[in-house]
Amino acid sequence: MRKIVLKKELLKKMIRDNKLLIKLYVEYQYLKVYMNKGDAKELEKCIREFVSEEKQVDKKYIRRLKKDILYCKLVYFTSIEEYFFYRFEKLNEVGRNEYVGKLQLTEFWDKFNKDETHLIFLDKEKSYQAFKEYYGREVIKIESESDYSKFVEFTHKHPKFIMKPLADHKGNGVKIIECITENVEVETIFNECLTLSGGAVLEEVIIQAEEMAKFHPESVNTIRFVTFYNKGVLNKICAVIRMGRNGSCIDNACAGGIYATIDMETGIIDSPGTSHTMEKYFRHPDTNAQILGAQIPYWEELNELVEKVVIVVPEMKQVGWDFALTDNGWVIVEGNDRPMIQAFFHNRGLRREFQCMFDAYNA
Amino acid sequence: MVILQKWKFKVKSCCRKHMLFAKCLAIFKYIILSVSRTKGKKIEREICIYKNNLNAKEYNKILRDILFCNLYYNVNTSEYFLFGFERLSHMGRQEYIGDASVLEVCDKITNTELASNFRDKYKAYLNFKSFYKREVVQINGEIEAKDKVLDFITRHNSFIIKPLDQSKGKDVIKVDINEENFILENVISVITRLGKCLIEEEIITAGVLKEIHPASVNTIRFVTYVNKKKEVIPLYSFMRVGRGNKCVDNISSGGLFANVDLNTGIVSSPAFDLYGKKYIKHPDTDVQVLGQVMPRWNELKQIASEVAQIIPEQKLVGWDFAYTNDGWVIVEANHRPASRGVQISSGHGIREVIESTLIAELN
Repeated sequence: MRKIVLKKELLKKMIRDNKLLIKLYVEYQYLKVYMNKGDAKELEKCIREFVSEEKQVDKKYIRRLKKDILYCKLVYFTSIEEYFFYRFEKLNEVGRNEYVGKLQLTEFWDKFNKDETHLIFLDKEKSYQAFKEYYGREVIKIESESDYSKFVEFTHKHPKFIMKPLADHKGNGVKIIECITENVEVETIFNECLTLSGGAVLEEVIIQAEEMAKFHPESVNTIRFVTFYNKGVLNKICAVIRMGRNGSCIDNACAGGIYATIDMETGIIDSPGTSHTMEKYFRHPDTNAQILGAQIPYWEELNELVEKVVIVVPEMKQVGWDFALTDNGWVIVEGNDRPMIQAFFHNRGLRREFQCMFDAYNA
Repeated sequence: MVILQKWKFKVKSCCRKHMLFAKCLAIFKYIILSVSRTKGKKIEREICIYKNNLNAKEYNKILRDILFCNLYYNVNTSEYFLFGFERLSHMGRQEYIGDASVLEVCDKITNTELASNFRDKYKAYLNFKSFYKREVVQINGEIEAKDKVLDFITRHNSFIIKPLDQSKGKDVIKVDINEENFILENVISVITRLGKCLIEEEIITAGVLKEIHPASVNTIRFVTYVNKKKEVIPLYSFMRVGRGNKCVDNISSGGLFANVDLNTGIVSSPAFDLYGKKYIKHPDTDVQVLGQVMPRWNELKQIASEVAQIIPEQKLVGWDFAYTNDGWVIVEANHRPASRGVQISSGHGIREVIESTLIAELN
């Protein structure tokens, strides 16, 4: 299977070098879509979502659009959604080249984070052990019946805690639990932990500082900071703030949260808040706190912290760190080995920022 | 001569309708430019302002593209770079409208008599006196200069001298009689040189607009359109701030500009200078520009819609407002407002806005 995948990549590389082949490939892919195979379903879904209704009727336009999307997928490595996020329709090749596509990043991660070290971020307990001093809170893992005593001790210390499934991302199944000290209550929660796939991780609640809580106090609002660390050189690629919405306790964009991009030099939020459905907010719709132009507090301290944490597991070259601000300073919430963040930057491409990574890849 | 101009106009309008024709003509122009040295040098200088270190091949490619855009989209060289035409496809470029086209429409839609209400700054003052909230006196040359100035300084310690019909902040001088180097004769000689001019009570600004750059009177450019039902529709607004020790904020005098959101009055973009460079903070004062909230924004909108109804026959007006302790006051009214600033700072073209309002009315 792996061999076939490799060959496919080689073939695509060959096609990209030849203009005629690109055209043929796009026609072939379009034919596949036309026959309702390949990307047909996703294409239809995205066109319904992003293209205005009057244009959807125009068959000639839709045909051209579909071909262009398939073309960009091959040449610029963008996914179908990204094509619309970056407004590729309005850009020519110079503009399109400024952006980094999801498919290209995936390719890089496959190469860079392929060894076992990257499992460290998949296992929330392992990553806690590695970065303990930067977590600023207690975390335990519940896997089997034998963890009961540990569990009881933990709940006595922290009656309010967060329960996360051990191996799940994007904020799925994250819950805040308040324990009442009666045994029955504790036991049901313990059993619930065991039913989760792969067990559960219990974390002490992060009490965030007022400066970050003002955006949306119900959720821990985090900074996603993407770094590339290679041969002792740290590149700070980009940063995004994410906040919750509608009283939800998590801030992940796919869970309805709002994100906004941050200027790396000053730590000022330089875009309006954006939801997953591309709605823009200058102020947070729930709290009315202004997002655009807000200064991230202790930005320099955060930068210093980043410089420290990347050295802990240097084999992990690219990491998207999630940081939260407490009254005692910045703490790590978690690390992500495949930080899908490039799609949050709608107005400018990040190829220049990611270039260091591609250079390392080619070297 | 007249016939020649008619032909020129015909060719130009043909270019804007037919892409192929424009492309051919652009190549023809390109050949002429490469033969004629003087003309080639001029455009080369313009390109060099925005793009350095191009090799010959890239330069020729850009030059051909500029010539084409000039003919087809009617944008000049600096607009080509500032709007980011190098990275836009046809669809993206179509969204923008060059100043030349806007002014063309402005001239078509008004007549000279109507325009004189705005071009003549004293007439404009008399028309909108109650919104100026300060004293303005016209001086018609040397004979009455001394008397009027002497009379004026009995009431006001500092004032501004403005030529009657200049724009872009040219020849605007600030005079303070308490300063050590104040000599009445010098002031009189300046007034004599200018011929007809105005002397105005100085506007004492307040609030964030002052903080961003205290040396100059910083303004909000608010553009209104009066439709057939005599309703006032705000089209766009942006902020202009001065730079260095200049007392004016005009972009052509080195000032910066940033987009202001019409609904909320939040500065929604970084500040830009004439060369398209971005500043999140003002380079002189280090005060943050992005995200500032304009005070009493709804009041400003109210004033704009009131003042636009005084001469509703003038369809498009760009009002310059300054903020003082008494609220918003008019600094100037422009009957041919440039639209470049808002398109550069917001990153969106306004052709659709202009087309749906002014051009629709012309037809």
